[in-house]
Amino acid sequence: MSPRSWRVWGLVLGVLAGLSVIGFGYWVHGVAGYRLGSTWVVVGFTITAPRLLVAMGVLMIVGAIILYLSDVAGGIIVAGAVCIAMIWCYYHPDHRVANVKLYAASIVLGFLSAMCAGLSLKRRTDAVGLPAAGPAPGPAPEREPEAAQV
Amino acid sequence: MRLQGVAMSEVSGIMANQGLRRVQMRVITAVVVVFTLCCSGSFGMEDVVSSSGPGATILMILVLPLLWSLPLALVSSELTGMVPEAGGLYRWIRRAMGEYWSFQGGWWWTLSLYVDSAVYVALALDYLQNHYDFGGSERALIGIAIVALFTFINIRGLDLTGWSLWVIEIVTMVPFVIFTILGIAKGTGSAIHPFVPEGESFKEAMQLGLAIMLWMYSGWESIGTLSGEIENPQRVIPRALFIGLPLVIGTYLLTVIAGIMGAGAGQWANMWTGGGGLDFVEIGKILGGNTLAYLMLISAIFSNIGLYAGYLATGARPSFQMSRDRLFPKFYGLTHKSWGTPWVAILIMGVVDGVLVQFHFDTLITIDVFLLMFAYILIYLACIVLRYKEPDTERPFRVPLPNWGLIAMCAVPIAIAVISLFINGTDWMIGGLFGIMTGPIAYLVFKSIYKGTKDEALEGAAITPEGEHTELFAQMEA
Repeated sequence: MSPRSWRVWGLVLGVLAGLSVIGFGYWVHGVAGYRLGSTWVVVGFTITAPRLLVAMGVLMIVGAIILYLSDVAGGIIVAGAVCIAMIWCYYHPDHRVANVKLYAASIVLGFLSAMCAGLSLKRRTDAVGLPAAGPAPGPAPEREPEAAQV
Repeated sequence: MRLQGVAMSEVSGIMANQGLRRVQMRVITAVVVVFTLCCSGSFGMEDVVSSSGPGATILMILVLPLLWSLPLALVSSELTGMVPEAGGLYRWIRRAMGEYWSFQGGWWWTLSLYVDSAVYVALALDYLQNHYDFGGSERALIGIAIVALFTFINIRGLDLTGWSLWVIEIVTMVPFVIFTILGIAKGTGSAIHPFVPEGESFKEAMQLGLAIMLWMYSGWESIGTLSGEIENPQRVIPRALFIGLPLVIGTYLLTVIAGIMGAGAGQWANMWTGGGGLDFVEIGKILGGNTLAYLMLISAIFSNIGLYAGYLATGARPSFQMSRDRLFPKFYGLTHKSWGTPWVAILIMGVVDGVLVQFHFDTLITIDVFLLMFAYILIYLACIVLRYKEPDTERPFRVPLPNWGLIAMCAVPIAIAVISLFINGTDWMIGGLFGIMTGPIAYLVFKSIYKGTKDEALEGAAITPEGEHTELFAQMEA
């Protein structure tokens, strides 16, 4: 597949990941009983509130669109948003199992989207012809030319 | 295929292992390395006995290696022979599945080993601290001293590492031999009864025990990462793996039987590590008084130090090779001019471990198992893919199965690895998935910075399928 084809796949999968996590966020907000999140100020606002999931979903969609234009930036944004939403799941110990089940689709889709970005990058990058050469095998002063035996 | 007296695999080795000094490792020393990486005593088995029951533990000790360890040992032997290069699994996967997946496998495995190796020093320090009751600053100093010592030994070369592992394993295993003889001779409990703890189903009993057992029986791929620094790894490593496997099974079997019997009738339920339970040190006290307890304590400390020394050696190699392939910072790929070792990769791992040993990080321990399972799946897939992609390439050792048989054999450990991802609880899964997600991010960052190396410029590409030298080979010679 061409780099462009990989980016198109990355875009589609990233948008699906974003929609999936937005759906998860609204489900948490509407159904689950912890819509306000933790009371401790900064962490509560940024990490534990369900709005974070929605924000990450939007970020994933934006990242996926960027991915179509720049595989590196877009892939990092999508995968980074997946990681942040995963921290959200971790911060709700009472509901971790349910959270991870609902978030599984986003994780898989986000991983695949970042993978497409990586494969696009691989296809379009002019790799170097030779491996980075190290110095010549060094003489071990007392032992050359025989190899050490152990 | 041989060309001008040089086998293809030898040429590829010359290309891929520049700057590394090879040591002439005897098979017996390689066996010690394998034993250290995959066993190094039976500490940790106590938890399996109490959570799964004596009978189920013995069953797992006997059956699991056939389903889990033997396939990995076989596959590692075939791949080491075919691609005998520094970095081991990273280069195996690259040859089969290309740069992207090899980076993922190498990254996950390396990340896992960075954490894992530090855990062993922390465990050794825990044993020491429980016995000698020293403070935090002393603990930090001793931890840094252990890390510094073995970092130097590793940088000095595989020959010295091999000798140090010999000493460590002798100190670790001699108390276990005494323990086993006394346990079987003086023990009173039944080694296989009950099969599972009362009131628990077989499935319930298996859960925690299986997770620990998978961990205890892992590590067979690790020695492959040292291929670039061992003379004739195609011959030495498979032999070491096949001698090491029954040795590890025998060690676990006999010591656990001795432990269950030595603990006394019905006391198996109180066998656990971490204080308050009957661990091997406490059972040693029952069997041989304070002397044996003290010897078992020393054994436990050396066992963990041995694991650290072994995993420091193997854990640094994939990142070294990734650097050589222009997928990691350049300085990781430097080799020592006199000692021919990847000293920067080893030193960085040592420094990270020196910092990590200061913390208690239970969650991180569980993350590394998750990462390792994904890397294992890629190793099995690499072996299968290479059978189809390069059916005629020279394989000094070939798993004696047709392709469909190899697929069937690999399907079992892959299934076990997948199942194991779900049996350890959600904390573990979230942490592990987080670690997995760092792989694609790291690839995007490093690939965009360093550009990578063309597949054609790697192993085997020095000779065309027709047996002619490529321009690349001429460049290499120049």
